[in-house]
Amino acid sequence: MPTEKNPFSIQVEDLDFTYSSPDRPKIDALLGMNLSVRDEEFVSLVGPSGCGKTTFLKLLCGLISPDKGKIRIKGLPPLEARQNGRFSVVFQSTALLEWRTVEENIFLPIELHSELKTEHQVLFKDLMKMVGLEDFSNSYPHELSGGMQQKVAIARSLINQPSALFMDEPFGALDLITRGKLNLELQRIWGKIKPSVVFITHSIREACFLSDKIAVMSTSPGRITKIFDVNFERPRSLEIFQESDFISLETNVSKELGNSSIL
Amino acid sequence: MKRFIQENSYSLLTIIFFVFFLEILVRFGYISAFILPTPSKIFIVWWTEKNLIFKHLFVTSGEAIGGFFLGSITAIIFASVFSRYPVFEKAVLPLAILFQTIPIVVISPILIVSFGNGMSPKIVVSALIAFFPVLVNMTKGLKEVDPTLLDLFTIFNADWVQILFKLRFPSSLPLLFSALRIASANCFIGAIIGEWISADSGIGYWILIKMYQNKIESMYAGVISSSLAAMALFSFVALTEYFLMPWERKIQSKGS
Repeated sequence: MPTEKNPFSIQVEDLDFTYSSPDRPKIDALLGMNLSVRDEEFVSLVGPSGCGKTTFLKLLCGLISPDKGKIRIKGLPPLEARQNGRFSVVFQSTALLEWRTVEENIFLPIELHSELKTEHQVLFKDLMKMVGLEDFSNSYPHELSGGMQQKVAIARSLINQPSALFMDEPFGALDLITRGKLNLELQRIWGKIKPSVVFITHSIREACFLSDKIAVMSTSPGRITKIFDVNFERPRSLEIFQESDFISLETNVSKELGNSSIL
Repeated sequence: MKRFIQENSYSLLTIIFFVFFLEILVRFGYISAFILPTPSKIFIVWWTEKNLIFKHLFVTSGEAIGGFFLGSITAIIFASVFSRYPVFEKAVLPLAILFQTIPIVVISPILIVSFGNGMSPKIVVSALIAFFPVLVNMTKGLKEVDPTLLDLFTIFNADWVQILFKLRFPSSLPLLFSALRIASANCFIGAIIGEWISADSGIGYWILIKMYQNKIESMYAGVISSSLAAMALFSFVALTEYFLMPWERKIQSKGS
């Protein structure tokens, strides 16, 4: 529902967040964080552990509120955006309900938020086809492999047609081969539905492969130090890994990451 | 069902062997027939007195099952309130634990004084026995939900009722059922203790009377009948669990 002329799907300005508890020193998780994501743009966040990536994602989802700064998702603050079902998430732990079948899991956001309509049924069929799980709608999550479970989680995140999708290391727990396959599939699915994506990852290669933009973060305080534009043509295939442009981008990103992190 | 029989055939064989062994021990005089009648004799007495035994067993089962449901449902309601209003947990749960330390044998006379001689005090004793394990486990189960799932429900804009029924309840089912198993096995104890203190019917009453009358076979028949009834309730709980949690079933069958 892009009613506004605003081309930005996600806008974050001067965001500060400090973890404070009485018996520990204050930790500046994020300080002066800025990020803009356009409609239909895929942005990856890479950074060392503890740079506040997950904190940032919680702020985007409105699970915690910032000390300072502004977040807008489709022009709305996170809580309102959440009530309007403007965004969705995928976690590293697939966060599927083990007592529900694949189908029941995927319909969960609809069930919690609105009524199940035929358009959702149609979208469900499309999504199942897209992720290649047509035959598994009545299976329980533990009957599926880790990669398949994550595909179910991705389908679930798309069923309410969000304009923004936040992914927190969705493939972090998977082996390299599955990861490569899922990167291809994610690119394909994203290409069809085109939500704006904020993709948190540890893998520079994954970030280079999937993104339009890569934002490199530093630790203490967490902030974005550099943004790389990624202009490879889509759809990208895994052969891109061998191309010299890709390799030099990878090198530059990891250099930036090396500079920004204090070891 | 086929697997159920297969898995239980070993313990069934053990029982048969044990009964046979006792029969021989008593027949050949290694154990006095005054202390332990032969299993076959017990069975014959049980058969001849079965109508009376069933009448008493029916009373006790009513008390135990009534108490089981009363206690466990109350506990589930309490635990749900705790999960919504943690301050109630702080106010009530320590007292419940304190109350639990009072031996049930001590509480029963008080209940009999307050509720009279009928079935109701025994139901209350059973309910008290069932209440505690269910309350503790269910409180734990409702509280200890995967935080990522809670975040997910919040992000999908779920209200607390949806979180309670669609997330907290289903994820606490395994803990709930392990508590219900304990409660189902124990609530017969509550009913029988109640009957021992004061009753004019029930299998506890029967066992006590037959002991005084020195009718050891009848006493044994009562003991065995009551444990069979308790086992039936236990099996009912296990079966409910089996049908209510199809996903668990598949996890188990994958494991074996």
